[in-house]
Amino acid sequence: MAAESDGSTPSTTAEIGSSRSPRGRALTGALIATGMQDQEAFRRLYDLTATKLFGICLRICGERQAAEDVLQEVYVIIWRRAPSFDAARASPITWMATIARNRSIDWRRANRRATGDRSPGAVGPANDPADDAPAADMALIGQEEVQQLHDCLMILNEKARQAIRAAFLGGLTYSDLAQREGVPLATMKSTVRRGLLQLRKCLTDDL
Amino acid sequence: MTSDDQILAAELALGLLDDAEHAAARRRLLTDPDFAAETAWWQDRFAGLADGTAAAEPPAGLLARVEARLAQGAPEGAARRWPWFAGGALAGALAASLAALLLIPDAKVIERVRERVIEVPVAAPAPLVAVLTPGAGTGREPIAAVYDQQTRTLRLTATITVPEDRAAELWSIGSDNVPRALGLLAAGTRGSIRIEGETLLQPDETIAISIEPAGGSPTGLPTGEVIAAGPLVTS
Repeated sequence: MAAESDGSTPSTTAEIGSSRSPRGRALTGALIATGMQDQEAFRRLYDLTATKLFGICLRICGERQAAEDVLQEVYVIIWRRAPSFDAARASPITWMATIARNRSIDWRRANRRATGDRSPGAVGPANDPADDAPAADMALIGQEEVQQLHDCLMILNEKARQAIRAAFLGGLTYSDLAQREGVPLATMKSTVRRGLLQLRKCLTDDL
Repeated sequence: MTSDDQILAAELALGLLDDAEHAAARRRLLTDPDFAAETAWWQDRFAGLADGTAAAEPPAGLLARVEARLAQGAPEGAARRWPWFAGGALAGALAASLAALLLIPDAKVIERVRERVIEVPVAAPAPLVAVLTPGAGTGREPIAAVYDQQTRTLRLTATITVPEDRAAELWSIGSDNVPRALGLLAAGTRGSIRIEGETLLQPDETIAISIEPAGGSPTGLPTGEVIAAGPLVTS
């Protein structure tokens, strides 16, 4: 999906993702300086990443106002946790995207609990068929790793693949997934667990 | 690491587990470094799933709002009801002790709590609450905890009794699934601890208590029994 509609995005984010590119180095530098309480660096960090992180929040929260609130929280967390960022362990954008994803999921779970709405219709965005489209900007995290993940997902049973995507991008639990598909909880668990085992084997096999 | 452990780490990273299982798996991060490493590995790999999402332009002025919040030193919070109590999510006795805990502290806190109960919008953020459940089969009672986001103080409903030469240490595990030491609970008092430094507890964190040598864990991770753990939620 994104390949057609976001023609201008891939080159930009590809540059952000590579630590060898000037923008990639700028991002790492900005995050490390942010960890030293450098407010100028924090603004640069925001300029480099806000559209990407807002895209993630919007995708998962499914509504604009919530996504804006969550994005605010995400940058507050980034500021406070930046001192613990370890450039040797994670890429800066992976580190930040994980915070954005997890805060958005947390909002979805809390929101659903509060309203008691657990109907399949409430999980709309996760049903998006575009989820199966290959990522247009896979260079964001590291081309090879992301490509490998997408390749390995393709060998899974379709139900397992969709469940994994829906859990990651929609915050769906096993119970939500079983309800959505109209299958017993135990069936859903064994389908997904088989898929995760296959996925792990595929990801750890050196090609 | 058995393959069941590997799958559990993937389930934790994806958020597939229900609330109780999720809390139990997070608790295990505190005491099992291999499991923590496996979870981190899955998180890094799954991060690629966020990569296909289209970029979107946030509203102008959002950065200014973030900076205002940072300058203020605490997150802003909208007025909230108490769905957590109303929903019957807690056993009665525990709910009562938690309610009492919310009303016990100094006058300023009481005032803020009352304001929120009647849903008047206030600048103060809502307190976060957690029910810390003991490990299965320990025979211990659950402990309720309340975290005041303004004073950064965490209070517990129960006195944690520890042997003379030991200390109770408090931990948090955030959405990055990395445990952090928060400090030691003073011996013999009902647990109340001010979280110092830049650490600010968030609604996505799991709180845990472990029994450590006097002076706290020497390793930066729990070395003794984790006696209770549970997730923080917005009250």
